[in-house]
This record gives sequence, structure tokens and C-alpha cells, in this order.
Amino acid sequence: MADFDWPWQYKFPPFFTIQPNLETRKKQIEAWCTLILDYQKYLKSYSLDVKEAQNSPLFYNKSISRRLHEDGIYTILGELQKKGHIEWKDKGRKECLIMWRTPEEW
Amino acid sequence: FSARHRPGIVGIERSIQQKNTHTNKQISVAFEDLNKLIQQAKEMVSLTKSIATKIKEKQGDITENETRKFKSYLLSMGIPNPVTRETHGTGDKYYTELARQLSTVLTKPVEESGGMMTLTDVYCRVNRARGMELLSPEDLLHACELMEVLNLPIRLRTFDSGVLVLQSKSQDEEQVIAHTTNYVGENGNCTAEELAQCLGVSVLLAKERLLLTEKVGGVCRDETIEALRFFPNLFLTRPA
Repeated sequence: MADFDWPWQYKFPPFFTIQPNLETRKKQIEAWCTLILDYQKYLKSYSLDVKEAQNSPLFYNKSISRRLHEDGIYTILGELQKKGHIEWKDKGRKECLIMWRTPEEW
Repeated sequence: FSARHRPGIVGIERSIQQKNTHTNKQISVAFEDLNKLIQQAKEMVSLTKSIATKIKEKQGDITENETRKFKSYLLSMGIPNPVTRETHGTGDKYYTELARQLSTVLTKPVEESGGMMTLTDVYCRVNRARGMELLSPEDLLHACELMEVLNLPIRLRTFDSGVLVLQSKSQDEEQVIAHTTNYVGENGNCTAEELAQCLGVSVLLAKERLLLTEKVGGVCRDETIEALRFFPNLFLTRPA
């Protein structure tokens, strides 16, 4: 299996801080959404446990020791849900189903 | 024999007692006077309030002499009452003069410190230079608020964080933003402290500069436990 091709943002420390500037944040969240979907596709994984994901390389870049915090993860997952890529498995929003393509696209 | 001249312990005791009653009397007299003074001031307060309502009925034209006079009365008594007075005369003559004076004194130092100075710094400078007849923080603030109306070379400005600064009019905001963006770009990233050291301005102002630049999208932040660092905003500048 070939190594996952990380986008440039992944090595850019500010990527791991949710940006206060609205325009910047929009770009940042967009990049995160693409990254999550690509990564899940690469892992061929359909579900994501928020607690577990915090320590996965997806949200924790050890080489620059930056980590996206829980609040940030929820912000981005919320955005993905709006786009129709995510369905929560439980009401507590601990685990979710990830669809690389939205049901409409299928 | 009067009490003073009586010999023995009784005499000493008596003289001490006498002294005590004397000081007691003095103290109570002093406080009585103070009470009288307060009573008088109270009357003045109620009087000024009734005048304020009278002015209200007339509704404000711009800086009439009457309201102006009235304001300086209030000022000398220490009862600022801006809520009802603001429509009747924009600020006081004392503040106007103070604003003028401040601008002549401060224009140079403000420009020397990079076109901006926090109000607390200004307060320190002015009062340290004065020595006597110091300014109250309120006086300073009111005077500075008038600077823009008076078209003086410096003016008051409030940042989003609530920090108040005096800014020289010649300072160009866009230039500051461009300069900050450049600086961050050249150094890869920086904190407020680093920028402050490089520019020779206070950390507080350096931070405001960075935040201002962030607001227009020139830089973006990296928040960690160690520090708040600012990076060039690659999100916007680098094509995906």
C-alpha cells in the first residue's frame, strides 16, 4: 500500500488551530474536509471514533507536534455533516459514519 | 491652683485627660464641618439635576454658551453626568483645551514610538512630566475622545480587544499591515514578543498589529501551549 500523500497544509502549524478570520477559516475547513475524506478513503474505513481519532495521525501530526483539539474536530465534522458526508451513529456524537461520497452522488 | 500645677500623679492624670478631651473636640468639630460641606454639596447636586432637566426640555443646539458654562460648574464639583448632558453641548471647554495641549505635547513622542502609544503609556508620560495638578484617567480619556473632532494630529483609537491607543494621523494603517505581513513572511513566523523586539514597540502594540493583520487575512495563527505564533496566511495565498 502506498504511503498516504499528505497535503501541504498538514505540515503547516496554523492548520491545527481553528482560525478566527472568517475567510481564512473557510479555506482551512475546506482543506480539512478534503483531507479527512481522502484519508478515510485511503484507509478504506467507514467509521470514525472521535476519541480514537484524536490520537490518529489524521489529527495529530507528530513531526511538528501539533494536534487538532476536540472542539476543532467537532467544528470540521459539523461542516462535513452539513455537506452530507457524515452520519452520527449515536446521539452523543462519539462515533460517525463517513461517506466518501454523499448519498446523492451515489 | 489650676489643674496643671497640681503636683503628684493626680496632676499628671488630669493633664492627660484634658489633652484627650481637647483632641476629641477637635476631631468632632472637623467632622461636623465636613458634614456641613456634604450637605451643601448635596444641595448643589439636586440643583444641577433640575437644571439638567430644564436643558433637556429645550433640546440641544450645538455648543451653546449656557450649557458649556453649566458643564464647567459640574466639573468643578466632581459630578460628571454625561447621560443627560451629552445632547446639550459636546464635551467641555476644559477638555477641549486639554486635548489641544496634549496634542502639542504628545505628537512627537507618539511619532517616535512608531505612530502609536497606548493610553496607559500616555497617562504615565503626561503625569510624570507634570508633577503637580495631575490628570485623572477620566480627564485624559475625555480629552482624547475630543481629538478627532478638533482635527488634531493625533487621535484616539479603540482596538477590538478594548485597548485604547493614541495614533498619529500620519500613520498609514495599510502600510503597517503590509509591513507586518512582510516581516512575518521573511521570518517564516513570529510571536508578538519577537515583533515587538524587532520594531522597538511594546508587546501590547505588536500584538495589536498582528491581530489587525490577521483580521484582513495577511497572517494566520498557530496557537499552542508554548506561544501564539503568527504565520504567513498560506491558506489564502497558496493555490490549493
